[in-house]
Amino acid sequence: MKGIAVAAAVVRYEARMAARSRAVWIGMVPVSLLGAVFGFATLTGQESARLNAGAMAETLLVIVPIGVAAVLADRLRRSRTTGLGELLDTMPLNGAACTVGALGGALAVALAPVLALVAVLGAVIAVRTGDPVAPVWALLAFLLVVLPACVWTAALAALLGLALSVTLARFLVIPLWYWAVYWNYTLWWVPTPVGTVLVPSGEYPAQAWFGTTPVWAGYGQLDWLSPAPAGAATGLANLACVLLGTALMVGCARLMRKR
Amino acid sequence: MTSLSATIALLWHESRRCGLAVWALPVAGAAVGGAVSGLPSVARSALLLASYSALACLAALCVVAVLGRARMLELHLSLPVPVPVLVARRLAVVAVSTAVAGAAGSLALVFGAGTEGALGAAAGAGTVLCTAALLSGVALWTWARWHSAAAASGALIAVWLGYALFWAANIPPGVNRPVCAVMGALLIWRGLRSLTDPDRVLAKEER
Amino acid sequence: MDVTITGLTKAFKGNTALNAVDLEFGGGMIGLLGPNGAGKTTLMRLLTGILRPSSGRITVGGHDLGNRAGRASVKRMLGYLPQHLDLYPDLSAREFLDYIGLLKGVDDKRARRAQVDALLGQVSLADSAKQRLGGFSGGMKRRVGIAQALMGDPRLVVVDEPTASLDPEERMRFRSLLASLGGQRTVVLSTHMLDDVAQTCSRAAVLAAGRVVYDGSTPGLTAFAEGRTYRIDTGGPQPAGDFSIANAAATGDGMRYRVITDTPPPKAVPVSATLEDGYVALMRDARAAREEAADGGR
Ligand SMILES: Nc1ncnc2c1ncn2[C@@H]1O[C@H](COP(=O)(O)OP(=O)(O)OP(=O)(O)O)[C@@H](O)[C@H]1O
Ligand SMILES: [Mg+2]
Repeated sequence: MKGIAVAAAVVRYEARMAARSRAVWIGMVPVSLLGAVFGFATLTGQESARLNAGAMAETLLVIVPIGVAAVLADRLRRSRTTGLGELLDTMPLNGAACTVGALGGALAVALAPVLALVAVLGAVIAVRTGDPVAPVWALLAFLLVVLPACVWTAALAALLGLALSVTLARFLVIPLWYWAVYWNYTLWWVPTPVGTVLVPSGEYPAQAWFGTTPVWAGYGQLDWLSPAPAGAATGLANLACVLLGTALMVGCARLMRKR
Repeated sequence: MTSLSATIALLWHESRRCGLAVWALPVAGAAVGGAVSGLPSVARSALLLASYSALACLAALCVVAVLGRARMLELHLSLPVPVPVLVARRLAVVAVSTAVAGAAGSLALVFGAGTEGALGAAAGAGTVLCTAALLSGVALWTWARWHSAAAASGALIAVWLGYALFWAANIPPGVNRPVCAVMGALLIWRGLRSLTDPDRVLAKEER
Repeated sequence: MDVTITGLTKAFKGNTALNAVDLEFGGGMIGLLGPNGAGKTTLMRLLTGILRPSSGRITVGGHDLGNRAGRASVKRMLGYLPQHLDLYPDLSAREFLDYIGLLKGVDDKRARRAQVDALLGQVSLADSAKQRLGGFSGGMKRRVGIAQALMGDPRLVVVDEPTASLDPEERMRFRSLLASLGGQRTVVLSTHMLDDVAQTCSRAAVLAAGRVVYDGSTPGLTAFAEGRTYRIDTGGPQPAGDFSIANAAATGDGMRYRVITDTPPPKAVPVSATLEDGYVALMRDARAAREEAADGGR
């Protein structure tokens, strides 16, 4: 119980600090605008609102998680340089709660412009398809497709930021993301998790709940890791794997912070 | 007039203030060139553009790293060397390093892919430099105006994504390069100019 | 080096850090005192040309800080130690001083070397000259800061709380270092240690809420508490009344307070005033004057 209270307090203050730091807005607002350009391009209005929402969310994944990662790479490092980390270490707090809270609070703020964008796109889908529940589909697509990917890259970037330098982490996340999610290994073979349930490409959930046709999902390099997308079962498996991966990275970050 | 030995000593100092990033850049250039030249030629043309803009982005992130390492600005404000000059010197070090990175990448490409690579390399080096100018300009301007290296890298990555995914893909290189170079020069100039305002520099220090 | 400050005002968004300050001083050392937020750092930044005033004028050695040429000339003969100095951690003390020397225009390599070695000796860091600054203790960093301010043989030295975080021996050493400089140069020193000023500066200026409330000889500051300083011994709770406490010390079976007041409580014993009492009395008067002005304004 105490851990939750601590985490909530950390979330609140981290969110407040993130909201006041220009860096988060200067990074996320342009990224969201770019996302808008991408998102609008995919809205044909030909199919159902559900399908449109799924496709829109998948398109957002091309840039939004990278923006989030770039903005949040310094979140766990920050408290170290200001001496706040040492102060927090002297308090009887749950370290894991602090780490999760620090990342979660900042992530919530960083995703605010994206959420606004999703609302706009949802409204556009509603107009185009004439389906009044389109905004709900858009919101669901955000929660099931965009959010897991952003949580995953945020944890990755924060971990890299602790292990290497923050600037290097900001850059490395870009190739890592495209390698993990979009690398065309038929063109140039390298080992990559593309197409497996391990990575948050959003294809499994999008297929499961929005009916999109996946490009890579099911075609990973290891057959037993890339089951053919088959509705809710594979969708949930993918979400669970992503969550597990995030937890692993946060755990590593926590260990590093302790040192 | 400052003596030659003093100038050299000062440039050596400034290049050390830039940190490891400056030395890593040429290595990265050679690595990218080598990797691309090792590809089958179908994949090469697809990846060449991406690697050019990646290299430019790396150079601009190098600028962010250098700016982020700037310290004791209040003291620098009290010294005879103006802060914009100080920053410009460090940027010059990065520029040299970028040029070396471009050359290293081109060389690797020429060795790996022969004459066909040589033509691409020459055009590529120009693209890298112009794109790097634009992205560095964005980074410097954001850093100078908004007091933060984090903001600079956020803005830089946003602009880079837009550049790589829209602009470079749709605009012919003949237009792209000069536009980037001019925009970059303008942003760098504006960024350096806003460093003449001591209030702004001090705010950066106190952040 | 003559420094003239006239009608100097500096306003930040919403608050006035300095309000119509007039000061004039020549060679030698001047101590700048005042409570937190009084405007000492702001005054020093204006004096070094780092900040531009909202209004008013500063001339240093005949150079007007209001124009670019004047600022450039002053910066060539200036040594400044900021209140907070975040040194480059990956440099050694010697490299750092060499770098600052270059930036200050000490072009000759041999001259620079000689200066660096002499200064490192003076701040007793000769043994750590090759260590990285990142591994220095807080006081050692401060001493590097003092050394860099003296690089290039500046004629105007402005040091903002140089003795904060120095150990007692180093503080003594620093005072004698400053005293040995004072002869030929102008040294402006801000501090919260009245002893620093008492021992090194013949002249003191006190700022409070952005105004100069005292400008004169350092011993003259004591006069404000003359005849208003009392001692109160008590074994019980802290005495209450209309007074400012200048000192409190445990005496074994109770507490001994030094208080400044015009209306002494019953058991108070008059004692002779010190510099510290003078400062407390001055602050008390300044506060009363401000309150009166605020009441009058209402
Ligand atoms: N950059 C700034 N922006 C806004 N207000 C400022 C700024 N710098 C100083 N101030 C305000 O000006 C006033 C004087 O500050 P200053 O730093 O000069 O005080 P000081 O006398 O040096 O205090 P201390 O003894 O604590 O160092 C303070 O009220 C402070 O809040
Ligand atoms: Mg101060």
